[in-house]
Amino acid sequence: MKNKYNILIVEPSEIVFEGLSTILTTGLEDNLNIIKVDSLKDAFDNLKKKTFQVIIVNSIYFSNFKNTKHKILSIFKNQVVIGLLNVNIERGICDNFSDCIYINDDKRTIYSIIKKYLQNTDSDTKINNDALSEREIEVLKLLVRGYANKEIAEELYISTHTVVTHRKNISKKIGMKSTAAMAIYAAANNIIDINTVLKNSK
Amino acid sequence: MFENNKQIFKTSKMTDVILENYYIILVLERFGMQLGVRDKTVNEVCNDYKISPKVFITIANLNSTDSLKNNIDFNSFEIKSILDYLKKSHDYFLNSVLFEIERNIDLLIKNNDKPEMLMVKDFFNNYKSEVLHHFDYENNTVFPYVHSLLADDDSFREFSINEYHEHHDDIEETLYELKRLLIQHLPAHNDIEIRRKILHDLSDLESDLNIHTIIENEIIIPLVKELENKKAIEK
Repeated sequence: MKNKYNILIVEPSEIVFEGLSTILTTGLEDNLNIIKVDSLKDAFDNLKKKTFQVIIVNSIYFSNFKNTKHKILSIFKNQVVIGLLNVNIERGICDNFSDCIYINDDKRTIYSIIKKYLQNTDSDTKINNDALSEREIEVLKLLVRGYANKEIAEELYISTHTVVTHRKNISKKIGMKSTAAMAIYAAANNIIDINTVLKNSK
Repeated sequence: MFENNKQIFKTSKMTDVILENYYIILVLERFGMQLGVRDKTVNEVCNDYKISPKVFITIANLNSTDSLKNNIDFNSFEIKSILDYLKKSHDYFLNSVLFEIERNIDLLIKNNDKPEMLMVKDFFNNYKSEVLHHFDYENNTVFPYVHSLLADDDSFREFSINEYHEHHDDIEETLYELKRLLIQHLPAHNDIEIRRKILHDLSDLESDLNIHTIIENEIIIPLVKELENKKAIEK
C-alpha cells in the first residue's frame, strides 16, 4: 500500500533540491509530496499549514551558530529534523537533530535513513516524553551538587560512560547543558533542596 | 532575525529602510548618525557622517536578512569604522541591555524571593561577568591589535588573530538557558509582565549578539588574516 508523506526540504540550491527530491521520489515507493523552501521563515510558514513527516535542513542554516540551531529546534519542535551536511562538516553539528545525511551519501544510505523516520510516523507511537527517569533524577541531584562524572559513577555503581549518557539525556529533556542552569531547574522542580546547593556552591 | 528580507541599497531612502526594520535605528546610533534624516538616501546620510556606505549597508543588511550577501573586501578606513561600530555595540550591550535585564531581575526577586529566583540572579551575574570579560578582551587586546596592523605598527607582534578566543558560543548558550528557565521551569508568581520584559530584552540581545558574532567571525577575522599574511610575505 502506498502511504502519502509530506517532506519539507529547506535548501537554498535548486540543484541540490532537484537532485535530492529525484533520489527520494525514485527510491521510495510511497507517495511523496516534497516541498522546497529556501529560508527558515518560509519553512515555519509551511509548518503552520501542513504536517511534515520529515524535514531536511541544509547545514548552512545552522552551522555557524548554536543559537540558530536552537531556533530551528524550537521552530520544529517534536518534528523529525534531518541535517543535510556538506562533506567537510562534522556529524556532531547535528547532535540534537533526529539524524543527518551527507551530500555525498549514496542513494541507499539516504533511503534507509529517510525510510526509518517515515515508518516511525506510521504507527504514531512517537510519544514525546520529557519527564526524567528515576535514575536520571539521581544523576541530576549529584550533578548539581558539584559531583564530577567519575564521582557520580562511583556513587551510583555505574560506569562513567553511563553517567555521560544520562547527562546527555537529561540535557536533551530539559533543554539545558550547563550545571548552573540544571541546578535552577532542579530547584524549581523540587528535585533538590535548594539550601544544600547554595551552601555547597559557596 | 528573519522577519523580513528586504535588501538595502545605496539609493534606498533612509526613512524607508528604518520603517522597514526598526533595528536599523541602533545601527545608525552606533555609527554616530542622528535621526531626522529627511528625504536623504542611504548614500547621502553616510556621506554626511563620513561612513562608507558599503560598511553601513553590509551591517544594516545583516540586521534585516541575517546573512552576508555583499563581498567583504574593505579598506583600512572601513575596517576601522567597523571596529568602532563593534565597540559601540559593546557599550550598548553593557550599559543598556544587560543593565536593564539586571534591574528587571531584581524586580522579579522583589516580587518573588524564592531561592531559585536568587539562583537566577547568580546565573545572570555569572553570565554578565563572562560577557564583560569577553568584551574587555576584544576592546583592549583584539581591536588594538587590528589597529596596529592597519597602522603598520609592530608593537603587537606577538599576538595573532588565531589566538582570538572564541567564546561566543558559550555566551549564546547561556542566554538560551536563561530564556528556557523563565519560560518553562520557574513557577509563575504573578510576574508575567516583568518576565515578558526580561524575555523581550534577552531575545533582542540574542539576535543582536548573533549579528555581532557574524561581523567578527565573517568580516573582521578573515580580513585580519589577510593582513597578517600580507605582512608575513613582506618580511
